[in-house]
Amino acid sequence: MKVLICDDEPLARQRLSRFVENMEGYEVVAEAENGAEAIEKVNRFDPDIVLLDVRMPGMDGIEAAQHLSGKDEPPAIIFCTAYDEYALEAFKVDAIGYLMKPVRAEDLGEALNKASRLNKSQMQALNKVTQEEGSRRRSHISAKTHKGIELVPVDDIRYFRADQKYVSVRHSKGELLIDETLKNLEEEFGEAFVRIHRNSLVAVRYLNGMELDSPGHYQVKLKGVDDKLVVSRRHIAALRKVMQKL
Amino acid sequence: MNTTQKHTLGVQNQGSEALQDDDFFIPDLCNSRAVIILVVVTQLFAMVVTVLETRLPAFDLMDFTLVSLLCQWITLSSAGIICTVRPFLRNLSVNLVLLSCLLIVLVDTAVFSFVGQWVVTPEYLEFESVFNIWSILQNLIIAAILSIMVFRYFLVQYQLRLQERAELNARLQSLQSRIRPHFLFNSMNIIASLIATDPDTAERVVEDLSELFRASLKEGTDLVPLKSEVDLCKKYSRIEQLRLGKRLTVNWHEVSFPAGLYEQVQIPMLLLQPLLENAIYHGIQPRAEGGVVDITFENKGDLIQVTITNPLPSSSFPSETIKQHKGNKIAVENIKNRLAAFYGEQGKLEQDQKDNEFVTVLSFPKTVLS
Repeated sequence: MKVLICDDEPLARQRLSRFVENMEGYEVVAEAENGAEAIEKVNRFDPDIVLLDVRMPGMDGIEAAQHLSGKDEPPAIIFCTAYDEYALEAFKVDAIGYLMKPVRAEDLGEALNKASRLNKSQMQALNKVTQEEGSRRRSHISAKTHKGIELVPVDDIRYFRADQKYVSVRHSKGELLIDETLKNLEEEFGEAFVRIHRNSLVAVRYLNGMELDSPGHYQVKLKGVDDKLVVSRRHIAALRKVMQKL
Repeated sequence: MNTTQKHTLGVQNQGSEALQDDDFFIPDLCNSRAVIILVVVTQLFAMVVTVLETRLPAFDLMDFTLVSLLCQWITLSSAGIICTVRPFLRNLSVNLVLLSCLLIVLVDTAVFSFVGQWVVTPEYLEFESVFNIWSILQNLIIAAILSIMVFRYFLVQYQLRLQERAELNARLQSLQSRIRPHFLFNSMNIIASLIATDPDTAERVVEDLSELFRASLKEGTDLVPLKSEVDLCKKYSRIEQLRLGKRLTVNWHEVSFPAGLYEQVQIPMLLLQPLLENAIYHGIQPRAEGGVVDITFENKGDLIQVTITNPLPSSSFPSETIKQHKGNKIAVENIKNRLAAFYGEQGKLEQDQKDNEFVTVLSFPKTVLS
């Protein structure tokens, strides 16, 4: 079984890695320092099991698990944490294992064995991390692509635009399709994005002016991308208010 | 006269009520307990006055009744007025409050002394013939002296209470905020990891950790040489260094110090360490790329100034920034309380956000124990 270890502390990784290597049938294929790196390495090494620290800089373990659960064949996730805190209370996390640091070798062995006994559908059901309403924001948006799970930092997103069935996410390096609704995104990211049209939500931090296209038709310009987006009449007043505050 | 009672009331007020209603130094005089105390003590005061006036063998019940009546009038009406205007007094400066209370008591005393004389004047005599300006003046002097004493007493009591509360809070908060469970368990994890690979370092972490905990479990008011506090900070940052690895760099700048100053200057224990902890906890840990914490000690005349600089967490989410500030605030409030308790005006803690840096400046006088 291939195991990926994700923890921001080098010594913590080292210890887990030592334990895993000492167990028969398991090997450490990669180590990651934060959630985003873990997802990238899951794409690359396709591990069966991920040992995931909860508190990490950048993207934490809970969010990483959320993104990973979007995968077709997600790895089994075993959370490791130093201290039981609000982080897990706010979430319904059905992880296969939940280990407290300093982790005991027996507990780790048990969790790994449990993970390796599960079949795929069981695993998929277990990995679901359901978010409680409005409890927090993701730091990244993820989409399933041919390369695996692709991540875009929310800070880098210029706008979301609803297009038929999907929502397209425009960021500095391109575009991504996700299976979410603008309404939920608007609720989750509140003040960072502003609604300018029935089908689009733009990042406040990249707003770069509003211009009159033809009489009565306004468009917004955004920093870093050439695209111009139509502002619908009923959103003009609200948008003006947001831009005045910038 | 009415002042003696309040004196006693002040003492009473230190009890259960002190906790609910002690953000103003004039106590609430309107609740039933206060009124009962006022009445009883006024009665005792009237007894003293009568005894002094008439001497014992000639103790006159009629005299005692009249004195009591006058004292009760003055006491209860002054208390009533002060109690009514108390909400307005709250916003005034201490001196203005003292002055207004004194004025209230004096005017009240003058009015009731006058009314008292008028009431007891027998019908067959002209009021003017028995009106005694000296008696009123005498009452005013007694009222003024006692009022000043008692209001000053209230003030001192109040300040004492504030200081006690600040120290208690500081101690509680230092206990609460000191032992961050995460820090404990992460350190344990480090030790567990090092025992197999590097037992010597593991041993040192156990020693450093013990010292940190010993310091944080001590009762909060000890003074220690600056040097031991700095050593403690270094032990703490060694543990964090192991935990965060290359993500953390702590630079110590202590160049401008004359020899011996480190050992001689005394500061309250755990004054610096929480600030360093905040810098690492809020400035470095949330950053995947890590960062640098700079600690600079400067010799500024009578003061020592310590500046701690850390990067801002790179989060663009306002909610998280607020959360971090909240954690930061507890420790900062705690340190401010202790600075005020130890150094008064001279101890200062200021925090400022500049560009992408968070700057904490702590300054305190060079206190040397003789």
